[in-house]
Amino acid sequence: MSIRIKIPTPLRKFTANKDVVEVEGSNVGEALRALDAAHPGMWAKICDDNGKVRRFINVYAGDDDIRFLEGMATPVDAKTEISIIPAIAGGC
Amino acid sequence: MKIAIFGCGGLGVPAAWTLAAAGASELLLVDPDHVERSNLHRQVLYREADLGRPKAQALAEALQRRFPTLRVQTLQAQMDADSVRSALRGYDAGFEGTDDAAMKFHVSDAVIAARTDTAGRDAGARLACIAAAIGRRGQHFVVGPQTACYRCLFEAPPPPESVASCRIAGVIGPVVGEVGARAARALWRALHGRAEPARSALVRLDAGRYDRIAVDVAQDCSCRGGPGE
Amino acid sequence: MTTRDPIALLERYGRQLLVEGVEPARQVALGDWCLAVATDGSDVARLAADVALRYAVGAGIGRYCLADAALADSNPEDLDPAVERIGGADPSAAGLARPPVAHLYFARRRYGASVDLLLTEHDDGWEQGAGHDAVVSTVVLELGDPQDGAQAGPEDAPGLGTLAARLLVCHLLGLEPLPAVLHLRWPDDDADPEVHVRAPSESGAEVADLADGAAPPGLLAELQRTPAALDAILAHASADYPNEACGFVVRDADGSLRAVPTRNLQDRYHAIDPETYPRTSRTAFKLDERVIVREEEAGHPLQIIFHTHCEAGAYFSAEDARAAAPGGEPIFPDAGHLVLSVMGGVVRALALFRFDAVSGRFVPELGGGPLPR
Repeated sequence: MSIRIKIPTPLRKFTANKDVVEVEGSNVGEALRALDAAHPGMWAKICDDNGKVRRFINVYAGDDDIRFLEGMATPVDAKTEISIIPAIAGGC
Repeated sequence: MKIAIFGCGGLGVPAAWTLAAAGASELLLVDPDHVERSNLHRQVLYREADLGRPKAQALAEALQRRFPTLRVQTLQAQMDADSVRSALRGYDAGFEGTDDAAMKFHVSDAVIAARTDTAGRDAGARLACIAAAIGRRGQHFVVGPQTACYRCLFEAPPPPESVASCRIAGVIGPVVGEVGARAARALWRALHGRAEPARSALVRLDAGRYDRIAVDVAQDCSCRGGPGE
Repeated sequence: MTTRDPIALLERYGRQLLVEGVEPARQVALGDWCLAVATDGSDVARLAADVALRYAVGAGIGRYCLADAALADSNPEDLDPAVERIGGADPSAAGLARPPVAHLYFARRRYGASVDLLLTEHDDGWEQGAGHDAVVSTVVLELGDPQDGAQAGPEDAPGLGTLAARLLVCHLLGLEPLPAVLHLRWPDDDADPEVHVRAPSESGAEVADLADGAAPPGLLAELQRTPAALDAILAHASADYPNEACGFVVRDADGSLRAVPTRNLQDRYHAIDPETYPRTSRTAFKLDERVIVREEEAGHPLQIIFHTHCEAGAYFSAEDARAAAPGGEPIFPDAGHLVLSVMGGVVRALALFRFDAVSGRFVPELGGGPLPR
């Protein structure tokens, strides 16, 4: 199934400046692996060594952060857009 | 690297701290005076417990507490031209931070004597940094194997009574600390060939601003800008 | 500070009091100040911090605290037994020091080293948070191009430590204004330093000047000329107190700035993963980034990201820098980061930081400082 992944500006240097990449997959993990296969380096930018989404990156499936869904196992279909969004955070 | 430090006061203390931290293997600390309470606001390695003790000895102990592998020699003496020359034998460099203008010329002259001695009998240091500070001002100048010397900059020591000392004009503690630390840094970099060997400059700090004045060898100066024939 | 009799003060600080422009009352007032020192843990930063602490105490700073366990060996009591240590050996107690407090943070950097100064001056009612002001200053020491292996070494540390102490002491003695940014270059091929003072800080006065339209260029100045946007930010900052408030500013099609306050999502993330998100919204923020994406897709480019520090100064914290530039790469290199200090629900100071590509760090823009009462 073809899934659309939106790429944020800072990561577009890995996708030949494409803002949207279409990949195959049935859940978020599969889609991101497919993204990394097409554009090597993306996985490491998004996930740490344990396969967890990095603290300063958010991965959205549709309207919610996958941390609040089923993580990498969150199912996706052609209607679900995946968005990778750098976190904006901080603290005193 | 072995470095002789003349004056264990407001300039000598931060210079010794900087050079010891940078990795000098041996320091010679020269000062005739004793620690007084009025020194402590700017000579910050001394302790209240050191009041009345010889500065050279108190500084040696303060450095060895922080840098246990550092070798330190001390000399509690008033120096003159000859004793400066002999103190610099066997050392890689000298640092002059006393409040005595004549001493600055003695150290510069010793470097010139060592570098012009082509017979190789004078094993004195061929590099020195000469520093001074008062009020909110300070300056330092590196004399090296090929640079201008202190006499290219100033012809001769001024009469002692014409020189304002910090006893009269005062000095801000961290200002003299900064001049001493930065002067020692300049010396350390010159020792490691990380400074232009032939150019010398008088670096001045005044009211928080730095500037540098390039100093050329004076035509009529006896140093003649480098090693002899 | 234990009160000293005038003879003892004269004996200890006599040489300093002789300097032209030093008023005895200012010298005595130094004794009220607390110096809080912290480092990134590097050897260079620790040595610089130790040097700065001894010089500041030597010059008359009356209290200190070590906001950093790595500095436990610093012992300025031997220099001046009258100095008061706040918080004992507990570095977390440093935040408890009552104003006036001068914070110094030393760090080794890719290009050399840096020190941040933050002055929190005493005003009335610290406990009630009724108001105190923060002055921010950053010293960037650039030793050369990191590509060429320029690195800060121990020979650089005392120079940086004494410089930080000199800026602080000369500022508190009323001799020199504290620069907002002091950019020093001690390049490798030059025996001696160059100093560039960018942006002198006269914070309070500048805020007043901006209202008259005599504005320096810059995003902060533009924001201060856009009352609708600034007022929306100030209102949001107070409304979310005592939690950190956050949001951003975009540029509309007509060229004007518009504030977009957003919810602070930090508590939501803290609830599901307290290990990755140890802080709550009391001391951290996480913005709803999708709102920015929507604005940008609508043709309203991001200009400023803002957030508040509650009961803390308007400085760019280490946490802020980590989040804004993970791994040293800024996420939005062109955006300004506005930080607002909120005390007791009222915004007391603000500062706008921008990523400086030369030094690789965030530096304050001209015009920040305490807000007029």
